Amino acid sequence: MEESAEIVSDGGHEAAAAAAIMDTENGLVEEEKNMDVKVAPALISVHPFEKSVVVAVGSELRLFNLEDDCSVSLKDDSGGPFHSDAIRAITFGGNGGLFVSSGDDKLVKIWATGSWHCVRSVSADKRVSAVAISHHGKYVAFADKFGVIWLITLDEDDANQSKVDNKAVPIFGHYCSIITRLEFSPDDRFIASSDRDFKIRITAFPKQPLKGALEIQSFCLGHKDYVSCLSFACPSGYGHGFLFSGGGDSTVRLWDFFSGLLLATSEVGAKAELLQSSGTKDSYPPVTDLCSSSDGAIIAVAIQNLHGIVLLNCDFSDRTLSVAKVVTLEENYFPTSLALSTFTQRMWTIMGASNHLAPSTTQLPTRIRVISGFCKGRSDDNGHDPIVLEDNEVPGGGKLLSHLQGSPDVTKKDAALAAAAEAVKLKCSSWSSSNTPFPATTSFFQQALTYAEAYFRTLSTEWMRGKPCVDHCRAQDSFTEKSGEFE
Amino acid sequence: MSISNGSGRDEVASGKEGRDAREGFGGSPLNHSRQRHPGNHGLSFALTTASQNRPRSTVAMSSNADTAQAKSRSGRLPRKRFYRARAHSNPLSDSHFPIPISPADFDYSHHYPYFFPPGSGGRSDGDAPPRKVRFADIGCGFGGLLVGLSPLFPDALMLGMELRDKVTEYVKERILALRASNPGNYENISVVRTNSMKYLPNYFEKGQLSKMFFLFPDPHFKEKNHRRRVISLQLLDEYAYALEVGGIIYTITDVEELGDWMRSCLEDHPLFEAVPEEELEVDPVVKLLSSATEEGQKVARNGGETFRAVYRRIKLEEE
Repeated sequence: MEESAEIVSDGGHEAAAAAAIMDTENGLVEEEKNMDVKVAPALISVHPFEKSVVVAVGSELRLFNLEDDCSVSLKDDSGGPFHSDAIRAITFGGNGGLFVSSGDDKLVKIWATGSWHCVRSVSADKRVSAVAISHHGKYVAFADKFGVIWLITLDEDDANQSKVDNKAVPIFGHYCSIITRLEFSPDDRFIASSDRDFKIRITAFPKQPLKGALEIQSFCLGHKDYVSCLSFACPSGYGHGFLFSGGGDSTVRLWDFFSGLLLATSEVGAKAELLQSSGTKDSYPPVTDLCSSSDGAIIAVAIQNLHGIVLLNCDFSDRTLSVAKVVTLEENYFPTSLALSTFTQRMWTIMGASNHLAPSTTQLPTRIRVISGFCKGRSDDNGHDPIVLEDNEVPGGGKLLSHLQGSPDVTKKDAALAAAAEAVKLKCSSWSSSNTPFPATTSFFQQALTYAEAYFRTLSTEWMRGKPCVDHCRAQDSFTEKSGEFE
Repeated sequence: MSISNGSGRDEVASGKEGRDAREGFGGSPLNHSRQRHPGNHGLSFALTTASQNRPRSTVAMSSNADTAQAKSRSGRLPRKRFYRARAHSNPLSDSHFPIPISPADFDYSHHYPYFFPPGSGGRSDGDAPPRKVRFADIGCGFGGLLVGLSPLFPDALMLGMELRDKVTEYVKERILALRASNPGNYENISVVRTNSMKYLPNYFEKGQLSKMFFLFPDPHFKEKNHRRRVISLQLLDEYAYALEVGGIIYTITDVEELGDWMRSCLEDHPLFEAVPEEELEVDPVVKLLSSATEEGQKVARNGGETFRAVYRRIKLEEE
């Protein structure tokens, strides 16, 4: 008797549930239109031997060849279109022989860095959020917004048969979580993937990966917010090595990735004294990017709201991670992406972001700063302080900057900078509520800054946030629910 | 820490409707949709049954001047009718319930006080390695399997995982009632409200489990919803991670299509191999698959057929 009543009421619930779901989805479409989800950070990547530097801003790839001291325009042989939407991930790999770019246009483009020809253009089913190239240069892995990791195989004689096997193969996945970063371990035996659900998964990368990478080596669990960046370090004498990760909880963590053990945590946001009050809650801003040298001697961290970078010191035998130094750059310079040349030990930083409001014909501005002077004996302290290079000291000089930053004006920036910084402060407060396009007179630097501001704002409101243990907000619930089901 | 303390209980005791509007799944669709779709037929029926039940429950409870908790402590079993819930829940949505940061963060003394008495600091007796959950019932529903398994393996800790808030609350009360009326028994079973498809690694370490159960899971018929199924090639990686080598995964369903799907996923996964039929015949757990759960009993009552797939976690052969 009780049973029959239950069945009926279950049916009723189902109808109600279906109606409720439809409702939230309708509400969502509107909500999404209002969000600045299209803002993407400018990215920078540098060849391991500093032969070339690549900047991605919006759908544009800018390349400067430092060997020949000239800018290079990319050529696409593969017949596919160039990127038509925001680029979300770029990286050098295969010891610098390959470069890959991908993003919202669902195209994964693989470039040979010798000729800078696009050797392969693979279309993904969903928007791509992360890419990685194996160190031996045989595989390119990318992750889509459904949390699935795909693999592209590159053969030696790829140029001849590229069209034949142009498909990517899914090898594993995080269940419906957006992958924020992918990295191969230095020995290519593992692949690390981080997601917005606080997780880092270390997967054994098999000899025949096309059959799937199903053996999970470990999960690195400890972040209390999304994980935004990963970097392996392999100091000699420590077996498999270590993994650094940074995240929305404003920490950088050191992991023994082989066991998943958390070895050390550095509260970098707190150490850099970046307390920010939003409403009633005090919090520290998220770590946006992190890079480290392969021996772990240099660890640099970019934090939202920090006009500079934080250098960390890691003692692998003591398993400690501490802030060594905060390198401050000019006020209002907030790096969105970092890149380190392992050979020259120069750190390249960029600030900028795409903005879908800007007309596509104008070149998107960025700002690049280079930091040098990392010494092997940096931990001995003092005497070897890293120096921020002036624009004329940057490798490639004004030629490089004018190409990568998108405007020749920026090189003569000092005067403009001071004015811009002032103007931007005023502007930023109003910017948060208005969506007016930039006035024509705005200097490029100012634009770059404002784009970066917009990016950071989106970063904190976008899908990466709004996670469990936060609060029970219905609207947020339905928004994040949608993000898990990205088209 | 993983059980949202008392929310469902208050609901039953006081009939506070406003409360569940703030709860994640469970009760909210009712209130929610009542405001938006007053004309819906199936819905209004559901509302009537619910509203008929509610006053009665209020009376029953208040006349006793007792909370449901005290009742279950006194050994009276909770009644399913007060814990109605939707049959389905969206596993893709973001969750708003507490999740342990890592398995070390899982509060054993809260779930298994008999094995982890207060003051033991979450550790069981002295030198022995701390006792860990060995069996996981994914989507445990109303907890029939846990209750059936508990006396069979009194030393093995078992954890049910259920996404629906009210159902979890029911199982929790049921276990407390069973413990109260059978002192010393049913101390090895507990339940958490969680999304196991997303957070399994937050609960279990590598190779921690010896048995995992997937009994009568949501079939998700539509092809576009297949990725919501609890057994998939992708998720089997995580189940293989949580299971020790030699551990067993038990699946059963009354939907033939889903049965085929689960079997083929397990068959295709290199880390699993089928358990031979002879072994299944002597495995006492297998009998419980169809007989212990509420869903299984329902199927049996209606003379339905069930489809079973039982696989063992194996070590990957080196090539």
